[in-house]
Amino acid sequence: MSGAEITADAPMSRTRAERHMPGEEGVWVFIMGDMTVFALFFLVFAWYSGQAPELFAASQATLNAGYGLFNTCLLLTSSWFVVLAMNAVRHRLDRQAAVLFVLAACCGLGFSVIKVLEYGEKIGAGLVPVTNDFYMFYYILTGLHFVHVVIGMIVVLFMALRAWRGVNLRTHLSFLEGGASYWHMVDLLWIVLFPLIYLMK
Amino acid sequence: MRQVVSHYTTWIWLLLVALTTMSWEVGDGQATGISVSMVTPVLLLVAFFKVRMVGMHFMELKTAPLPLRVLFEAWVVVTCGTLLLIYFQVI
Repeated sequence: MSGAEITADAPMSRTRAERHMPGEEGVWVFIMGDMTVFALFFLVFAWYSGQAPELFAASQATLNAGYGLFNTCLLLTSSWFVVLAMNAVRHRLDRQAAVLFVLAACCGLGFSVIKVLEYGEKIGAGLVPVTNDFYMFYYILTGLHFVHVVIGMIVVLFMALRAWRGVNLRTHLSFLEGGASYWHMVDLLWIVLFPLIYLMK
Repeated sequence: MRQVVSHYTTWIWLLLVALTTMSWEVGDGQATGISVSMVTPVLLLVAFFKVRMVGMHFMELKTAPLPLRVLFEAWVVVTCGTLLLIYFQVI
């Protein structure tokens, strides 16, 4: 269950017989807890949307789905960079892994810049959290997610630093796997938020 | 570096980006052949399919201890299922 059980020479050749927890158990308690909180937000949003379909549809029409699409692709790409970085770590290509982690963080930065531009546009147009229920949910859900993106970027940059200084697979893999899992969760939550807020009819 | 990029997860990434772009087209009403009432269910099913792909292949839950994998799969099914029930006004 712990990273220490993985041998440095064959970490890639895991089979179903030797199942492996990616990261510490505590990280997974946090991830599943976080996902559950977001799931409740998704359900409450969908329920309110069903109560006032015209208001939600009219408000949704003021959003730019192009931003949402581009940001989804940025986070998917960022997640993919982290997967490649973890592959590099396991192939003992630590410096390449560091570069890939930095690229992942850059995608996160791109997401953040677009998000700030989007918030600026909306606030400039007088669309704020108190405008209506849709906008209240829009700011709470995307804002809460945005906090996760910022924290995730910091974690990924620490992962880059770790990789650059050299990875000891016995002692560092668990931290890297936990951080990677957290960053994938940030991606995963946005995968639901994008259609839920920007596209659903 | 080549062995790092030529991993099957690169195909998963391409598939995820393709599904995202398709969802956007469906949601923006550009795609034909899907009735308006089915847009949301299709978007939800595609989104949670993508979530499961990220979980299994990026988060490495495919080879994680079974209780963790089951917990994740249950989250996907319950969240997506409940959203569909709300959409169809069953609850």
